[in-house]
Amino acid sequence: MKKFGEIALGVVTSIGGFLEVGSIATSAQAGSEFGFQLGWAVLVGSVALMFLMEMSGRLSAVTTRTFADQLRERFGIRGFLLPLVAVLAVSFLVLSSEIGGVAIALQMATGVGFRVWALPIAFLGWLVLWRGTFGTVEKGAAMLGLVSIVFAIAAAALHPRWSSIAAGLVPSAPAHDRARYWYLALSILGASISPYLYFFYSSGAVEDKWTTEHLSVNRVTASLGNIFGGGLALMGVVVAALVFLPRGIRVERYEQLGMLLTPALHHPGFVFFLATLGITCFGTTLEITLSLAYVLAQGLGWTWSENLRPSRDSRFSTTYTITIFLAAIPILLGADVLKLTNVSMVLTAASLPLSVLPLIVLMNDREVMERHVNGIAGNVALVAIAIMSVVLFVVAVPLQIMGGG
Amino acid sequence: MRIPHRSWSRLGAVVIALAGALVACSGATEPDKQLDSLRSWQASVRLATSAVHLGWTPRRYGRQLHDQGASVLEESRKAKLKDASAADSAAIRGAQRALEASLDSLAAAAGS
Repeated sequence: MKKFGEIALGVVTSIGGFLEVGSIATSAQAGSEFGFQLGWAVLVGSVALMFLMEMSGRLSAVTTRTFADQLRERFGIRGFLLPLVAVLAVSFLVLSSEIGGVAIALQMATGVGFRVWALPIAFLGWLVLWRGTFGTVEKGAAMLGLVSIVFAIAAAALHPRWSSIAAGLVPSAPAHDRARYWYLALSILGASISPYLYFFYSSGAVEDKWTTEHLSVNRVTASLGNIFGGGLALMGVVVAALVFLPRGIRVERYEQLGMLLTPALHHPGFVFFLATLGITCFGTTLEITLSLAYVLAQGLGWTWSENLRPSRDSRFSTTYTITIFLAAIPILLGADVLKLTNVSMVLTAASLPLSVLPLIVLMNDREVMERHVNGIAGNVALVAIAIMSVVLFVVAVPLQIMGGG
Repeated sequence: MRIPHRSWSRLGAVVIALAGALVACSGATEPDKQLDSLRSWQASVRLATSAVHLGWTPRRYGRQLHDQGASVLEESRKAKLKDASAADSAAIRGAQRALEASLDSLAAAAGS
């Protein structure tokens, strides 16, 4: 019964925490420009994340150490430095985008410009991190994030043709604007497979004191959470395809998204869209800030835990304090949130090989994983993800130049 | 030592070929993009206009979208387009007028 409760909580947490500024923006852009045709990118991203989270969780449960700890130990500080810098840099950009997402939601709700909200959001986020525990951050924010189920309700209310949605889950060549199509596919993959997610998940497993007894909890949480979460992102594509595409709306600024759910759900649709954007982005702001502090603290061997009082792990708490306020600066200066989001998603996709390739080594090392090394299916999936990550790395910059406009 | 050099050259060639292929893929010209953008904003403004009666939050949102649509229109009028034919310019002017009319309707509905 206790295990069932842990699984249920874990799945709910994953669903509530899946949507954020990147997945909302990229799903809406994909649906508004290509209908259901990019559904496959959401599916691939969700399945890839499911495998990466399961493996990073398994690694932590078996070793009682985090993925970042293992990276440093196995590859040395020099081998760890490149993934560290890449994860910190791209996650920082994503963090700024998330703060921007909350700020845009508040702007749409109050009429007060988004720049004004940047520092109050950073302060509120810092306060939650300073006063709260890991459970507050992980479960509290994700529970509130369940409001994002409104995307599924809106999609159902619009009576889509489910066979057309299913057809979109199979990759097909676009009839127009090929560079834009592949750019959006890349952005969706970047939004789905953010390295901070599996670094955070791995740290969470250690915070929650997972052992090999939690392997089944890990497997079910990573699988169901990402399948249902990915389903919500897919519903974002569906709603945009049914609301924006027929009207000829192409999302150029975040503010255009405000009406996304209104044709389906009227006034509650507008309110729930703002709530979803604000709450999910705020939850992700907390997770990324913590994840950045975790990776740095674990890499440099500092004492770290969100469950400790800040005075007990002062370098860790100083890191998240500085990070969250620094990340608010681009928004304070008026950065275009949608462009920042798209660029950060593309760079996230480009950075994937640096964390995915070492995972292949760690998950097959019997000294590290003992009898819990990857099986054939796990390795096939991980190699496929690694190949995809290398392709994304190669095409990211050309696609940003050609399709980002 | 030659083998890695060759493989890096090949990788470079692949990246260049890929970039070249992408250049060939992207067909939209500047006037096309401008026209798409104006039409997209007009559609966004119309959708917001249809929702302002739903309550004070959509009304407030409508006023924000009006201001952003107006700045898009302003930028479009200032922009000097390369490769624009007479037909392109006429289509863009038509789209600008249509957006302006939609913005006026939104302003009237949202009380901005």
